[in-house]
Amino acid sequence: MTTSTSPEDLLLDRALAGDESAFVELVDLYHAPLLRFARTFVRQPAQAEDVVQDAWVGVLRGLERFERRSSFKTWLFRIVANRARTRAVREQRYVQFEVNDDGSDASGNFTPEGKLKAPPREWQMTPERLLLSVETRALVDKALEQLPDNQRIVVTLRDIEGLDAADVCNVLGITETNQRVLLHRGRTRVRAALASALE
Amino acid sequence: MLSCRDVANQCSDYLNKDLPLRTRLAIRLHLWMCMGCNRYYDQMRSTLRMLRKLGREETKVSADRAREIFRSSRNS
Repeated sequence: MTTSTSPEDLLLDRALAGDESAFVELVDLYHAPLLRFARTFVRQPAQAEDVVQDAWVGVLRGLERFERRSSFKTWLFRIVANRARTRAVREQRYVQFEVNDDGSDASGNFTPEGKLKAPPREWQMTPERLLLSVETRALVDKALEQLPDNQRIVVTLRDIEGLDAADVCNVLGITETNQRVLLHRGRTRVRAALASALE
Repeated sequence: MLSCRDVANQCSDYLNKDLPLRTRLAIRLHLWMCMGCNRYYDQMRSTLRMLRKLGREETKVSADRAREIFRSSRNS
Protein backbone atom coordinates (compact mmCIF):
# COMPACT_ATOMS: atom_id res chain seq x y z
CA MET A 1 0.00 0.00 0.00
CA THR A 2 1.37 3.42 -0.86
CA THR A 3 0.08 6.61 0.59
CA SER A 4 0.53 10.13 -0.60
CA THR A 5 2.59 12.60 1.36
CA SER A 6 0.88 13.62 4.58
CA PRO A 7 1.59 16.56 6.89
CA GLU A 8 3.33 14.11 9.21
CA ASP A 9 5.76 13.06 6.45
CA LEU A 10 6.77 16.64 6.03
CA LEU A 11 7.23 17.09 9.76
CA LEU A 12 9.36 13.96 9.80
CA ASP A 13 11.54 15.22 6.96
CA ARG A 14 12.07 18.50 8.76
CA ALA A 15 12.81 16.77 12.07
CA LEU A 16 15.35 14.52 10.34
CA ALA A 17 16.98 17.62 8.90
CA GLY A 18 17.42 18.91 12.45
CA ASP A 19 14.31 21.02 12.95
CA GLU A 20 13.46 20.67 16.62
CA SER A 21 10.09 22.44 16.39
CA ALA A 22 8.89 19.95 13.74
CA PHE A 23 9.79 17.12 16.10
CA VAL A 24 7.95 18.83 18.97
CA GLU A 25 4.84 18.84 16.77
CA LEU A 26 5.16 15.13 15.98
CA VAL A 27 5.55 14.30 19.64
CA ASP A 28 2.53 16.41 20.44
CA LEU A 29 0.46 14.39 17.96
CA TYR A 30 1.65 10.90 18.77
CA HIS A 31 3.47 10.56 22.05
CA ALA A 32 0.41 10.04 24.26
CA PRO A 33 -1.22 7.41 21.99
CA LEU A 34 2.11 5.60 21.63
CA LEU A 35 2.56 5.62 25.37
CA ARG A 36 -0.87 4.16 25.97
CA PHE A 37 -0.09 1.48 23.42
CA ALA A 38 3.34 0.67 24.91
CA ARG A 39 1.66 0.23 28.29
CA THR A 40 -0.45 -2.55 26.88
CA PHE A 41 2.77 -4.58 26.53
CA VAL A 42 4.95 -3.38 29.41
CA ARG A 43 3.01 -2.56 32.54
CA GLN A 44 5.51 -0.28 34.28
CA PRO A 45 4.85 3.33 33.20
CA ALA A 46 8.57 4.21 33.34
CA GLN A 47 9.45 1.34 31.03
CA ALA A 48 6.69 2.23 28.60
CA GLU A 49 8.10 5.77 28.54
CA ASP A 50 11.55 4.30 27.80
CA VAL A 51 10.17 2.22 24.95
CA VAL A 52 8.51 5.23 23.32
CA GLN A 53 11.54 7.46 23.82
CA ASP A 54 13.73 4.74 22.34
CA ALA A 55 11.42 4.51 19.32
CA TRP A 56 11.60 8.28 18.73
CA VAL A 57 15.38 8.24 19.03
CA GLY A 58 15.52 5.37 16.51
CA VAL A 59 13.39 7.41 14.14
CA LEU A 60 15.51 10.55 14.56
CA ARG A 61 18.75 8.67 14.05
CA GLY A 62 17.42 7.14 10.86
CA LEU A 63 17.51 3.59 12.24
CA GLU A 64 13.85 3.34 11.30
CA ARG A 65 13.02 4.54 7.84
CA PHE A 66 9.56 5.53 6.75
CA GLU A 67 9.10 4.02 3.30
CA ARG A 68 5.47 5.05 2.90
CA ARG A 69 4.19 1.52 2.57
CA SER A 70 1.71 2.22 5.33
CA SER A 71 0.32 5.33 6.94
CA PHE A 72 2.68 7.30 9.13
CA LYS A 73 0.68 6.40 12.23
CA THR A 74 0.77 2.66 11.45
CA TRP A 75 4.50 2.84 10.88
CA LEU A 76 5.08 4.54 14.26
CA PHE A 77 2.87 2.07 16.10
CA ARG A 78 4.74 -0.82 14.52
CA ILE A 79 8.10 0.51 15.70
CA VAL A 80 6.75 0.80 19.23
CA ALA A 81 5.12 -2.64 19.02
CA ASN A 82 8.42 -4.25 18.04
CA ARG A 83 10.39 -2.51 20.75
CA ALA A 84 7.76 -3.09 23.41
CA ARG A 85 7.61 -6.77 22.52
CA THR A 86 11.38 -7.14 22.84
CA ARG A 87 11.17 -5.46 26.22
CA ALA A 88 8.27 -7.64 27.33
CA VAL A 89 10.17 -10.79 26.37
CA ARG A 90 13.13 -9.60 28.46
CA GLU A 91 10.69 -9.38 31.37
CA GLN A 92 9.59 -12.88 30.49
CA ARG A 93 6.21 -11.71 29.39
CA TYR A 94 5.25 -13.03 26.04
CA VAL A 95 2.05 -12.00 24.32
CA GLN A 96 0.47 -14.78 22.30
CA PHE A 97 -1.77 -13.66 19.44
CA GLU A 98 -2.81 -17.09 18.25
CA VAL A 99 -6.38 -17.62 19.31
CA ASN A 100 -7.87 -20.74 20.72
CA ASP A 101 -11.22 -21.50 22.18
CA ASP A 102 -11.11 -19.70 25.50
CA GLY A 103 -14.59 -20.76 26.52
CA SER A 104 -15.73 -17.15 26.37
CA ASP A 105 -18.53 -17.61 23.86
CA ALA A 106 -21.08 -17.13 26.65
CA SER A 107 -22.79 -20.38 25.68
CA GLY A 108 -24.42 -20.45 29.12
CA ASN A 109 -26.61 -17.54 28.05
CA PHE A 110 -28.23 -19.46 25.20
CA THR A 111 -30.52 -22.44 24.83
CA PRO A 112 -29.18 -25.37 22.76
CA GLU A 113 -30.99 -23.86 19.77
CA GLY A 114 -29.09 -20.60 20.24
CA LYS A 115 -31.89 -18.52 21.69
CA LEU A 116 -31.14 -16.06 24.51
CA LYS A 117 -32.34 -17.56 27.80
CA ALA A 118 -33.06 -14.12 29.22
CA PRO A 119 -32.54 -10.61 27.88
CA PRO A 120 -29.59 -8.73 29.38
CA ARG A 121 -30.70 -6.49 32.22
CA GLU A 122 -31.10 -2.82 31.51
CA TRP A 123 -28.28 -0.46 32.49
CA GLN A 124 -29.14 2.16 35.05
CA MET A 125 -27.79 5.00 32.98
CA THR A 126 -28.76 6.63 29.70
CA PRO A 127 -26.30 6.36 26.77
CA GLU A 128 -25.60 10.09 27.09
CA ARG A 129 -24.72 9.87 30.75
CA LEU A 130 -22.61 6.80 30.11
CA LEU A 131 -20.42 8.87 27.82
CA LEU A 132 -20.10 11.82 30.15
CA SER A 133 -19.78 10.23 33.54
CA VAL A 134 -16.41 10.11 35.23
CA GLU A 135 -17.34 6.85 36.98
CA THR A 136 -18.06 5.00 33.76
CA ARG A 137 -14.77 6.19 32.35
CA ALA A 138 -13.04 4.61 35.34
CA LEU A 139 -15.06 1.43 34.76
CA VAL A 140 -13.91 1.23 31.15
CA ASP A 141 -10.28 1.74 32.19
CA LYS A 142 -10.61 -1.02 34.76
CA ALA A 143 -12.30 -3.37 32.30
CA LEU A 144 -9.48 -2.82 29.80
CA GLU A 145 -6.91 -3.41 32.49
CA GLN A 146 -8.45 -6.80 33.21
CA LEU A 147 -8.50 -8.04 29.63
CA PRO A 148 -5.97 -10.65 28.57
CA ASP A 149 -2.94 -8.86 27.01
CA ASN A 150 -3.71 -9.86 23.42
CA GLN A 151 -7.31 -8.64 23.61
CA ARG A 152 -6.32 -5.40 25.33
CA ILE A 153 -3.72 -4.67 22.66
CA VAL A 154 -6.16 -5.22 19.77
CA VAL A 155 -9.01 -3.28 21.42
CA THR A 156 -6.64 -0.39 22.19
CA LEU A 157 -5.46 -0.14 18.60
CA ARG A 158 -8.85 -0.56 16.96
CA ASP A 159 -11.27 1.19 19.26
CA ILE A 160 -9.20 3.68 21.22
CA GLU A 161 -6.62 4.67 18.61
CA GLY A 162 -8.91 4.15 15.64
CA LEU A 163 -6.65 2.02 13.42
CA ASP A 164 -8.44 -0.13 10.87
CA ALA A 165 -8.25 -3.92 10.72
CA ALA A 166 -5.51 -4.03 8.07
CA ASP A 167 -3.39 -1.56 10.06
CA VAL A 168 -3.71 -3.60 13.23
CA CYS A 169 -2.61 -6.76 11.39
CA ASN A 170 0.31 -4.80 9.99
CA VAL A 171 1.36 -3.32 13.35
CA LEU A 172 1.19 -6.63 15.21
CA GLY A 173 2.01 -9.06 12.41
CA ILE A 174 -1.13 -11.08 13.04
CA THR A 175 -3.74 -12.59 10.74
CA GLU A 176 -7.05 -10.95 9.95
CA THR A 177 -8.92 -13.82 11.62
CA ASN A 178 -6.98 -13.52 14.86
CA GLN A 179 -7.45 -9.77 14.85
CA ARG A 180 -11.20 -10.16 14.43
CA VAL A 181 -11.58 -12.82 17.10
CA LEU A 182 -9.48 -10.90 19.65
CA LEU A 183 -11.43 -7.71 19.00
CA HIS A 184 -14.75 -9.53 19.38
CA ARG A 185 -13.71 -11.20 22.63
CA GLY A 186 -12.21 -8.03 24.04
CA ARG A 187 -15.28 -5.91 23.33
CA THR A 188 -17.56 -8.63 24.66
CA ARG A 189 -15.63 -8.73 27.92
CA VAL A 190 -15.59 -4.97 28.31
CA ARG A 191 -19.38 -4.93 27.87
CA ALA A 192 -19.77 -7.71 30.42
CA ALA A 193 -17.58 -5.86 32.93
CA LEU A 194 -19.63 -2.69 32.46
CA ALA A 195 -22.85 -4.67 32.74
CA SER A 196 -21.88 -6.11 36.09
CA ALA A 197 -21.42 -2.58 37.43
CA LEU A 198 -24.33 -0.88 35.69
CA GLU A 199 -27.22 -3.34 35.89
CA MET B 1 -33.21 -17.25 10.32
CA LEU B 2 -30.37 -16.12 12.57
CA SER B 3 -30.34 -17.26 16.17
CA CYS B 4 -29.57 -14.96 19.11
CA ARG B 5 -26.21 -16.70 19.42
CA ASP B 6 -25.40 -15.94 15.75
CA VAL B 7 -26.25 -12.31 16.35
CA ALA B 8 -24.08 -12.10 19.48
CA ASN B 9 -21.18 -13.76 17.65
CA GLN B 10 -21.36 -11.28 14.79
CA CYS B 11 -22.14 -8.21 16.86
CA SER B 12 -18.57 -6.89 16.76
CA ASP B 13 -18.32 -7.32 12.96
CA TYR B 14 -21.73 -5.72 12.60
CA LEU B 15 -20.56 -2.68 14.56
CA ASN B 16 -17.52 -2.47 12.26
CA LYS B 17 -19.85 -2.58 9.24
CA ASP B 18 -17.69 -5.48 8.08
CA LEU B 19 -20.46 -7.81 6.96
CA PRO B 20 -22.06 -8.45 3.59
CA LEU B 21 -25.36 -6.67 3.00
CA ARG B 22 -27.44 -9.83 3.26
CA THR B 23 -26.03 -10.63 6.72
CA ARG B 24 -26.46 -7.05 7.85
CA LEU B 25 -30.10 -7.10 6.86
CA ALA B 26 -30.67 -10.43 8.59
CA ILE B 27 -29.13 -9.04 11.78
CA ARG B 28 -31.15 -5.85 11.55
CA LEU B 29 -34.34 -7.88 11.18
CA HIS B 30 -33.44 -10.01 14.19
CA LEU B 31 -32.64 -6.93 16.29
CA TRP B 32 -35.98 -5.46 15.34
CA MET B 33 -37.87 -8.53 16.52
CA CYS B 34 -35.82 -9.59 19.55
CA MET B 35 -35.84 -7.29 22.54
CA GLY B 36 -32.97 -9.14 24.29
CA CYS B 37 -30.58 -8.92 21.33
CA ASN B 38 -31.62 -5.36 20.70
CA ARG B 39 -30.63 -4.40 24.24
CA TYR B 40 -27.39 -6.37 23.98
CA TYR B 41 -26.54 -4.58 20.74
CA ASP B 42 -27.26 -1.16 22.27
CA GLN B 43 -24.98 -1.99 25.18
CA MET B 44 -22.20 -3.12 22.83
CA ARG B 45 -22.59 0.10 20.87
CA SER B 46 -22.38 2.18 24.06
CA THR B 47 -19.29 0.20 25.08
CA LEU B 48 -17.65 0.99 21.77
CA ARG B 49 -18.49 4.68 22.07
CA MET B 50 -16.93 4.82 25.51
CA LEU B 51 -13.76 3.14 24.24
CA ARG B 52 -13.52 5.56 21.33
CA LYS B 53 -13.92 8.47 23.69
CA LEU B 54 -10.83 7.41 25.66
CA GLY B 55 -8.74 7.97 22.54
CA ARG B 56 -10.00 11.51 22.17
CA GLU B 57 -9.12 12.40 25.73
CA GLU B 58 -5.45 11.63 25.68
CA THR B 59 -3.33 14.01 27.75
CA LYS B 60 -0.69 15.87 25.83
CA VAL B 61 3.00 15.59 26.48
CA SER B 62 4.97 18.74 27.23
CA ALA B 63 7.12 20.38 24.61
CA ASP B 64 10.03 20.23 27.06
CA ARG B 65 9.85 16.47 27.09
CA ALA B 66 9.88 16.46 23.27
CA ARG B 67 12.97 18.70 23.20
CA GLU B 68 14.69 16.46 25.72
CA ILE B 69 14.13 13.43 23.46
CA PHE B 70 15.25 15.39 20.42
CA ARG B 71 18.48 16.42 22.11
CA SER B 72 19.17 12.95 23.47
CA SER B 73 19.07 11.60 19.91
CA ARG B 74 21.89 13.93 19.02
CA ASN B 75 24.31 12.75 21.74
CA SER B 76 25.49 9.24 21.28
